[in-house]
Amino acid sequence: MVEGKTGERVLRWGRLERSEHIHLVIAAAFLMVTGAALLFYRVAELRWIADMLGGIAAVRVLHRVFGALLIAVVVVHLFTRIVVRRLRSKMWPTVKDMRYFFAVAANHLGWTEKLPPKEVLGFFDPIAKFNYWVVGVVGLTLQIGTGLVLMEPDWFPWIPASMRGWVLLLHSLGFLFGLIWLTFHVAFSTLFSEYRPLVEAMFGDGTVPLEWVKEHLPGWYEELEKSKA
Amino acid sequence: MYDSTKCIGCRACQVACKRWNDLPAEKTSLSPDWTNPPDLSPVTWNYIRFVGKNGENGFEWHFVSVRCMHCVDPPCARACPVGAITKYEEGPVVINQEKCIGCRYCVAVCPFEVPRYDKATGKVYKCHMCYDRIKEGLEPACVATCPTGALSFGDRETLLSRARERASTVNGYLYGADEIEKGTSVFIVTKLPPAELGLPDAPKTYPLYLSIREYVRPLTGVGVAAVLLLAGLRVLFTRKREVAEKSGGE
Repeated sequence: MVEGKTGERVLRWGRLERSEHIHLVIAAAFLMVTGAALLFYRVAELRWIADMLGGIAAVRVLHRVFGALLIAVVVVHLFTRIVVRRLRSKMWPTVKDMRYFFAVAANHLGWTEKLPPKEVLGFFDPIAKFNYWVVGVVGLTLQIGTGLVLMEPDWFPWIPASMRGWVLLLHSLGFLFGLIWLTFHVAFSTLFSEYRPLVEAMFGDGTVPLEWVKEHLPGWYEELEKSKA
Repeated sequence: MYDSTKCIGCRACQVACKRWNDLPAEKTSLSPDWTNPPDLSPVTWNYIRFVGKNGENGFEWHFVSVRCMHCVDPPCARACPVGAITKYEEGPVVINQEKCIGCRYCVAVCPFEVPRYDKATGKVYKCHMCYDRIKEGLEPACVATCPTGALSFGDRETLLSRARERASTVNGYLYGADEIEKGTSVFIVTKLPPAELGLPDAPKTYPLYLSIREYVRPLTGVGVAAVLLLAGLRVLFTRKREVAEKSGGE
């Protein structure tokens, strides 16, 4: 991740991250819509989704096109992180992160009003790490892998035909969890004012106010102060 | 119903299927077990498998007809995302080629590994029990052609009781009565255990992955609605708390 200061704002998302994110948004949105059109085609009331996109055959082609875009984003991401940045990242999870994540989840679900202390929050908070590792790494690997098997089973001759039913189920479950997570991600990013600067940075010039960093990501603020000193 | 104890392996059923459905012949080679062609394909919808065994009377040939089993509750029809597969009252499970989009979900879920995908047309093919003939009051082409009466066609219940009786008479086995929970519309009577003839060890219960998958559609809606509700409630409670803190402070 690129860091630095631009006046009273600091750079949160570099050009590469913003570009990756916008391409992910496009790919995920179209994959969800075309996936829903495929999954719900037999529900008469929802057939209009496929019809609107040019029919079920066209939807399949579109699903693959945006699947290819998603794979391209993943390839660029892996290349830049592994080859260019040599796995130097603040995204590696820690035990502290996990504790914080579950405490925040309990708070968001209304089980407790108490939020854990914020000093643990560095450049990436535990929610961001969860999104990256569980949804991004595990989820996308699963969806891309199962999607490829369903698209072209001949590429995977070692997967017996009897196993492909399970592959279909995994892909469908991936869609279910993916859509629920996406709803969660979009709803919570847009409805709560505490996250708004991050959204504005992701879709804007990539910077967030230093004041916001001080309040919400004290760990990162401390790092910034140290580097200033 | 296919009574393998009456089958002589003449392959007339294979030829009849090709002729009635206008399917081209395939280039093949002589296999050591005489099965020819060796497998189903987009243009071969049935074939006779030759199984050689040493029995009480020395070496014996056993035959088995490999084809769509026309399940009573076909997993392929449930998995097909476009509803291209129909189970008809008379028994046939038929793929509507105009609707088929070639997704191969039916290939993935068939417990008997029957449907075959054709790369050239991008569609899936299999035996349709000559539904076009049945509609006209005729027997399937293979049944009409069988010279020994190994194949017969009729009402499922009548055939099932006949198949049970025959299996008991020859002291053999009945395949298809209770596979895939509700059974199939094709019954195979064999002298050897079905597995020894290469018949798939099909599950007796409905494939679990399809049963689970059927919950995905409603669960997706419920999940999305639940998240939106949660988000809405959280906004509401946060707002309430802010108002309360504000009024408390004043």
